[in-house]
Amino acid sequence: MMRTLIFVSFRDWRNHKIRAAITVIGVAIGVSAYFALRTVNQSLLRSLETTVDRLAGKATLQITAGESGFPEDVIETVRATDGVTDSVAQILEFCQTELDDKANLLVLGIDPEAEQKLRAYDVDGVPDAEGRKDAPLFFLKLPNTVVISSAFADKEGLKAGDHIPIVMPTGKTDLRILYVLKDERVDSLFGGRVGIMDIHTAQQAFGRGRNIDRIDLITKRGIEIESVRQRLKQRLPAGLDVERPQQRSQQVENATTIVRQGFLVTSLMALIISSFLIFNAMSIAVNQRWKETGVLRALGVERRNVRRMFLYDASLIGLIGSGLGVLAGYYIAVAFARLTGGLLPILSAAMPSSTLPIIAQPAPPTFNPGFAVESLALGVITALISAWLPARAASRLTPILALHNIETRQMEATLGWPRLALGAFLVIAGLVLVRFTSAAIGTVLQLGYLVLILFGLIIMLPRVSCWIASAIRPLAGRAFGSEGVFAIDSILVAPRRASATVGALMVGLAFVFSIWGFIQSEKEVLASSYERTVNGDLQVFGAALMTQDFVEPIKAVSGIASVDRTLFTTTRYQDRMVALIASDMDVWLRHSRNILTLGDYEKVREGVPAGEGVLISDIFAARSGLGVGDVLTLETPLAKLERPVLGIVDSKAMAWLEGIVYLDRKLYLQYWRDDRVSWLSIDLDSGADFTAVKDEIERTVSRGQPVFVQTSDEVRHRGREIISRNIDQFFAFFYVQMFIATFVSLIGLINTLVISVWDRKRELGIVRAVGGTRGQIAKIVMLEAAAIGIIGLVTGVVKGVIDTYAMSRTAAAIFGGYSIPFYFSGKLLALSVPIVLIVALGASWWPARIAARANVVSAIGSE
Amino acid sequence: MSQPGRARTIVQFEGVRRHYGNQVHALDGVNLEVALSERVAIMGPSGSGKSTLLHLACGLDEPTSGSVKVDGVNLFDLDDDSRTRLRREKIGMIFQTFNLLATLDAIENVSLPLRLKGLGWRESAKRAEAMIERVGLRDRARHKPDELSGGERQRVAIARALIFEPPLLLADEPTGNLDTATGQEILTLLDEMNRDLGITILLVTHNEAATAHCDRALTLRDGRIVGEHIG
Repeated sequence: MMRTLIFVSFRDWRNHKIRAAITVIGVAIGVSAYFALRTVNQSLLRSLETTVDRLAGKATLQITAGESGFPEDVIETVRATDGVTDSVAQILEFCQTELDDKANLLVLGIDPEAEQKLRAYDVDGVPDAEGRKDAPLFFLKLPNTVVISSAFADKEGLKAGDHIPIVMPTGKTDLRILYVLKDERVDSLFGGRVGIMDIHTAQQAFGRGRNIDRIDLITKRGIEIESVRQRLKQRLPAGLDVERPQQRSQQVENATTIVRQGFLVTSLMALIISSFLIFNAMSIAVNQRWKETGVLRALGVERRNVRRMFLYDASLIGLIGSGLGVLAGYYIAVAFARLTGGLLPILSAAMPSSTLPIIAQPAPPTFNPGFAVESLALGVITALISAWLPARAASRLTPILALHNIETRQMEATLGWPRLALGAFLVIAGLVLVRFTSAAIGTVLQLGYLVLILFGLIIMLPRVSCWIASAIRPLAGRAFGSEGVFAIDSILVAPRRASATVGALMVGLAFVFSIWGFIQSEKEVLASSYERTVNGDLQVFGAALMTQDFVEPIKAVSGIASVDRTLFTTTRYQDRMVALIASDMDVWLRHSRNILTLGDYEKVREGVPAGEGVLISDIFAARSGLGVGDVLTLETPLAKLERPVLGIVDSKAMAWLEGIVYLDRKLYLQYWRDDRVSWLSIDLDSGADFTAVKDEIERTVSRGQPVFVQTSDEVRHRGREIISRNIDQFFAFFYVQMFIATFVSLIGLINTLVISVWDRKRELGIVRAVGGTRGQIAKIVMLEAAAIGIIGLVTGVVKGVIDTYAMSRTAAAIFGGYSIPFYFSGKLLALSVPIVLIVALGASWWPARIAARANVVSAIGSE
Repeated sequence: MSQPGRARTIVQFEGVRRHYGNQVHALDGVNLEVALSERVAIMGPSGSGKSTLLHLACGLDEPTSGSVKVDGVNLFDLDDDSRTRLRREKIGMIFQTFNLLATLDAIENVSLPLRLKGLGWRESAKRAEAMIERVGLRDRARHKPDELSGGERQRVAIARALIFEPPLLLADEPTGNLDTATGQEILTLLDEMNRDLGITILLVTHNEAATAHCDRALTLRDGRIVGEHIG
């Protein structure tokens, strides 16, 4: 029987090609967004793995610490450990060149002798006079020499023997290019902008002292790698991580979790909006096939087979739409990768700086059949869920009514009070949960609250649409006469037909309102939080990290009262990377009374500069569960650091980090042996001239790296701009999603109107027959579109307000571990009124044309 | 109105009432027996309960009280699915408004009941073609309903109703939308089907001429059978 019913359905879709096409497009849009984001994600992860793989070479284990690195003498312990055959140290630094484009360069500091045991490099044109072609990096032992990647050489027009001017913490240096490395692996790192130096030269040039970033080692064959790893863990300080290269790529993968979760949420949003479209199309198909269904029932088709027929329809449409969506999604992913030059802008906000630059060149997207199957399944499931209610309605229709003419059709039932109450209950329950549960409850549950609210609103939508339509009916009558009333009545008669489109509009607009509100609120919170962290009168930044030798002369410049040296780095806390700010806390705290949200200021003033305690950020406190008085334990490269938490600091400006630990610089030096400085905050003597001090600082360091000296106000202003830009970049995909939401809603609107016109062909024909002009018919259709737009706008604003509130409490907590103030943009609302009306009227143009041009005789004759 | 001593009873109404709320009594205690191969016309003014009687006879509507048996089976002892299956096996229906599927051509419309019963494409089409020819529409077999005249549509509807040779045909105003001559042709066609296939016909009509084609004519008024005319 099903084959016959499918045949009947197929004929129906063939006769309603536009409805079929719009439905298929609806599914395709949702699935394409999902597939594209999955593909982009995969591309990112594959890039991470490849990068780690390429950096690892033959290494079976890697030893790392935070960004600060660890003492190089660790390598002696490693070499002396049973099971280790070879080991090689490496440092990884970034610097700016003084080439025309001021290109940045990733510098790998390696041990030329040991390196060849782990990694072979393909080279071209190596001087082999000394017979060392087997060790092409050997010549790096020559002072101030560098080997560069061929990609960099090609881009900058460099060749062996040329010099590259480089800005290093110790000053400007000209590095001689020994030769160009023709190695694809190296070319794929950091966009090919890679230089390789001797590790000792690099340590010196970058002020790393005797610290290194990584040890790669090879374990003996036949010995279990895990046993060697355990042995090393026992022998090395706890602050060092001993991991297999794959585990390291897992760490990096974890660092991108937030971005990937964001992608997932947005792609699911696209599917939800699409589901309205499918629901709409299926409801309309049921309406249009009302009579056909009645005939089938009269001919002996059981209810369940009617339901199955519509569900088969939906799954077939879901399958075709998903297939197209997968194809489109793949090309979107490819285009996205090409257009944005990779995911760098998005990732930059979410990843530790030590990891980020290396993955600046994500692998090109590849087609993953597994994702395709997943997307197809998701598309079909979405279609089936969306079609369930219409299919059920079809199976329950009364055949007797269906077998009568159109006049006997009953008004569509809106939802009864019990369901309305259920909808209201779900919305209120969702809001209560959003309001009274903490961020610590987890992302899934928090998103669950939003789903509750969404379901609640969807359940109430037909009734609410009727209320709003009833409210605007008198106005429509007054303003547009009988056409206005007729237009509104068509919504009142078929609220489900209209409410599906209203739903798509509601979700789309609410998404726009809430994301916009969230982004603006986030910007304001982060910017104002950042401004409070900028202390002193002047700020000094170097092109790279500044060394102590570099900083000392600055302290001696006349007019300077005090200098707060700050190093911004990362360290490990349990299984996550957290930021570490090592500062001259006595100076820092003089300015920072107002950023302490918890803790006794006097105790903090006393204990933190003395190294007897630390401060932690509010986000760190929320995520770790630590409070004032608890003991914070950090594994450092030298020993275990245990200090009580003396206060909590407002640090939303750095909300994308897992949290921040603040400690005194002396304490940091003691445990990390790293005296570099990221920036200086300078207090001037009263009456000191800013310009004179700035000039003097620049003169003092003129032989070293260039520095940027700015007033704190300039820094705050610049910081606000940077935060705004970073947030815009981070939410770049949300902006795209906002566009998709609007686009899908527009298609939904066109769909509804076209169907509405066909559905009411006879009614509109009667209006024409009794004297209605073509213009009046077109006006009715356009007014109906405008009314649907207004209802969508009103419900979108209501949902937008609810979502913005929920997001201010949950999304911020998910992404940053804190909540932000509610912000709803009146300007955006004012802007959306004309936009929605224009879109609605635009969408109605074609349906209005169809209605106005319909043949009156055939319209009246249609059943 | 039982007819003792007649052939096997195919339709039996016993004390059937169909009330819509307290005000509308569409049927109010109807007793009726129709024998196999009998042709019975139901007449009466609008609102007398004719269509309701027909809807109850095919199980599309449910009585407020009383029982309706088709071929000895009380329809309302069955669940909806079983009732639907019984309809599929034993009852053909034609309507004033034809109720053909607009997206299917004549052959496809006619073969639909066979295909719903699980018969293969080819066999269904073959039998449908034969039936289409029998109702005189061989040249119109591949036309869709909107390409056919009213009489032709009704012929297709009759062919569809009888393709699986049901023992009972329910006809709801089959000539209501047709001109006199075409209506006469349809009634003649029904006569032929009754004669050739032995099908029972229960015909609801306003058309006095239709009674001439029936063995009995019953008159309904206010939900009750108030008269019977033996043809």
